[in-house]
Amino acid sequence: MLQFRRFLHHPYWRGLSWFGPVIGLGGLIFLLFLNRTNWLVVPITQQTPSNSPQFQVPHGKLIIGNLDGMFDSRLPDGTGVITIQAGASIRLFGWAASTSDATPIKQISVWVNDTMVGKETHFFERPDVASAYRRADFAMSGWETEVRLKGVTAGTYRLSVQAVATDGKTAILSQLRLVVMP
Amino acid sequence: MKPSPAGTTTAFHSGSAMDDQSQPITSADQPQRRSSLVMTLTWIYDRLDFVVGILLVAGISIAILAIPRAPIVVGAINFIDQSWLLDLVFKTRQGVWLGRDVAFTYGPIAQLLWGLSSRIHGLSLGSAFKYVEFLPFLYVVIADIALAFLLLRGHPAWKRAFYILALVVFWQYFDFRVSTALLLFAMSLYHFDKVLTPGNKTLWRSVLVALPLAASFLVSTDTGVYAVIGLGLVAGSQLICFRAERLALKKILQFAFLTGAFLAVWMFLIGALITRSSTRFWTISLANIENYRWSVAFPMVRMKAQFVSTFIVSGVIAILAWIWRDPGARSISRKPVFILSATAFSSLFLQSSIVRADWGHVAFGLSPAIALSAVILMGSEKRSRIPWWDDGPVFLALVMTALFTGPTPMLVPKTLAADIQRYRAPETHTCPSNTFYLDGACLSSRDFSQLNAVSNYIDSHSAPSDSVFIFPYENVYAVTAKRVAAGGVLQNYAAMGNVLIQHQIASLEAQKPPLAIYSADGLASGPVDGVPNLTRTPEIWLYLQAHYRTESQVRAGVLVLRRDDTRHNNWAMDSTELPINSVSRPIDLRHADEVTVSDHILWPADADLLKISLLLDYPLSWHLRKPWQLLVEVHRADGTEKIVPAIVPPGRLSEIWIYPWMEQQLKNYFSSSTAEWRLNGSRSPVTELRIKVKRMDWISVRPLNIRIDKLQAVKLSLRSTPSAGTDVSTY
Repeated sequence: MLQFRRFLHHPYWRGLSWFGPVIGLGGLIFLLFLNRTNWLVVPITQQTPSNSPQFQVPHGKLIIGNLDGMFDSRLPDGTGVITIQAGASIRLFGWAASTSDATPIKQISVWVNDTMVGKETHFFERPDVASAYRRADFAMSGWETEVRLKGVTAGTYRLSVQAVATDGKTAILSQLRLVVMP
Repeated sequence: MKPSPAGTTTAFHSGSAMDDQSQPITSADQPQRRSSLVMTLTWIYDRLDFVVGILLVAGISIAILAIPRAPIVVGAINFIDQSWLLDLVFKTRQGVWLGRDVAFTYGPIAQLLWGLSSRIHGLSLGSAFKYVEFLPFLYVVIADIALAFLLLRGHPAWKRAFYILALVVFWQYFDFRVSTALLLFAMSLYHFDKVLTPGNKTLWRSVLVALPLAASFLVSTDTGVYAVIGLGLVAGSQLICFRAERLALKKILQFAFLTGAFLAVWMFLIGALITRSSTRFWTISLANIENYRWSVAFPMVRMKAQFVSTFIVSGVIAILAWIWRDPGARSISRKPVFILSATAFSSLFLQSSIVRADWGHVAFGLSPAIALSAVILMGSEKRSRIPWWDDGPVFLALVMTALFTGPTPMLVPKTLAADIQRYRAPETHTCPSNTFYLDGACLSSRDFSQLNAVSNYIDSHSAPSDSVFIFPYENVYAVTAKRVAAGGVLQNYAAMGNVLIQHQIASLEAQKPPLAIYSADGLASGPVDGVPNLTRTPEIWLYLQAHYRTESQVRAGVLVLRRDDTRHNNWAMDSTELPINSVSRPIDLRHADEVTVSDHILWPADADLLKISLLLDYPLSWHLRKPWQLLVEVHRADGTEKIVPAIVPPGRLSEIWIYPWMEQQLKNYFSSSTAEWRLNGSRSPVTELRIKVKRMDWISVRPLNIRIDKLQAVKLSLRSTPSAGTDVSTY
């Protein structure tokens, strides 16, 4: 013990007053060049809230989905129906998903009465749908389509949006009244 | 510049007794023919703290200012956080100020820092994205330097340099609220320490301490609250440490009283100057933090280990510091008052980590514990005969830094070199492919089309002087349209509690913005922390629904609404009482996680909303922790269910509003035709309602009981004469 104290108090150590600044500051500067992650950097996985609203897939339904709305820059006419000039076009959007992995949705069809006027086969991401149903396979369920109403004469029609699965099964997502103005 | 303290360094050569108090080397002892290089190095060594500070200021300047003048490529825009930040920046140009015109969790000083930074090369969307953090970051560095000078007085300059470098680059969360609160805490310590020295001017000192404390509320309300409580903790610690010395106690009490009195005077003056009403500023500021704990509580998902380990390590350091305390030390960091008050202040600041425990807020709340423990680790200012032994704690700090963290990316030399290289490279003035130019920024196709469509519409359908109301929080639409975002609260989710809700609605009534932009949940917007925007701010949604009608849908789920005062005259809300299983009787929740509110609901045809009046009681400890999560489970006749996270203030009778079907459908309710309100998608009748409580995280507190007073189905309608029994609300 005495020897250890003598060792500690050896005059040599007094000469090492440079030790603190050189090791301390030098060490920090060395760490600056190391490729270590700062503890404050937020990982991507932490950026998404984990408690979004949840829904359940209805029992026994193969296809679920919705017509969420339509892009339309005209003023609403207040009649509660889609009103459009003959020959014009409308853009519809929504989502559709198949509850069976084996038979995904392949197409969205838009019908005016019994005539198909448009179809869409490209789907985009709808993370809100996947999150709400806790179904990762619902992620690519978004769709958007432009329907040109060529040849649809003035009158009142039934506009239906239908989702078609790969096995040919279909489901109506929404039905609306369509008034085509002359 | 301040000369180095007596007994510290004056020479820089190997083998000298540098920093050795027992063998001071005076200028008389210096060799006559010392080379100019050694003199220069000695001069720098004595001022290493300043040198490091200047280098860090330069580093921050390079990191933020050395951005090419070309348009900045912006990733996906965060429509919540970047929206409020951009809106605050543009509000400085519009002459709209936080605290005076708009309420938010930040104050006008914060807005000024962001606003001035963004104008460095003229204000645009691009300049705001590039430079907005310049002054705030600079402020953090300067505040950290000042903190080191206040808390490490008497230490050799190299230790302050080490502390400043480590704090800025490795340890600290870059947030001026933390830096301000820490600096004001250190200032309180410094002045309470000084007040005990003979001949000090207590009166002037108290005036000077009180002013920045009151002004800190202009940074943000929580900064002010932390700073004032910090002052109280220092005063309390001083009283404990000097409890046996009557003269010292008298001085401490006198100083505390004077500082408190001047603080009240400054606060009154600030309130009066800002809002011309002595109480309005403070009422709204306090309302901002009053409801924070229950309205934006967030679970601690993966930061528990960091939180607990930092807490334990800081606690161990504090205990060791207490064992080796030195009341007569020159450095404040060795004194018992520092150890007591710093421990209490760090523990208090953990509240920020506990309440909203996402990654950023946990880091934010831990910063004072790290910064103040590190002050202790700077060791003694006295030099023993074994200098390197005294520096042991500094090495420990270095080792912990190496083990647990790395440098903040923007200050890594390699990054700074790349910044300079990029700045000097020839500039391109076009946006990369797949991005689109908008006001100095290159945006993704999705963001561009969204912002461009909305701003073009606003531009062509309203006058430049018109304000626009944004619901729920996408203020960036108003920014790109160069319009003032209307309302008395910056973003609607911040309007929590009666004071702020009424303030928001009163502001909308006064401003009457002709247009509103409504982004539908699930289509163009999202719930904040899972709580749908109708459920979070039902009063504001109902106000909007009662006063605005759809004019156009410019993008998927983005509606432009037009103010229509005739609509409000015709607007009505009919409520039908639904049966409840246990009416107005507290139901014990200490052992049950679920309550069936009603299991035999006869849902009225065309009813639109569910309204639950309830009281949720918590133990008192919720004031230090946070409430469990509340979930409302809606069962429908077709066998489907919807689970909606909801928020309620603990211990207060309140209401939860639920839309029982898909939130996207709510946008239909702005149509001028009521026939469209209930179109699209399933509206299967509600048959059963349950309320569940769910543990949010390990620190959240379980409710004691729940009392359901009323359950109602609410039908919204437009008609010329309200019928008897109609709840003609104030919305």
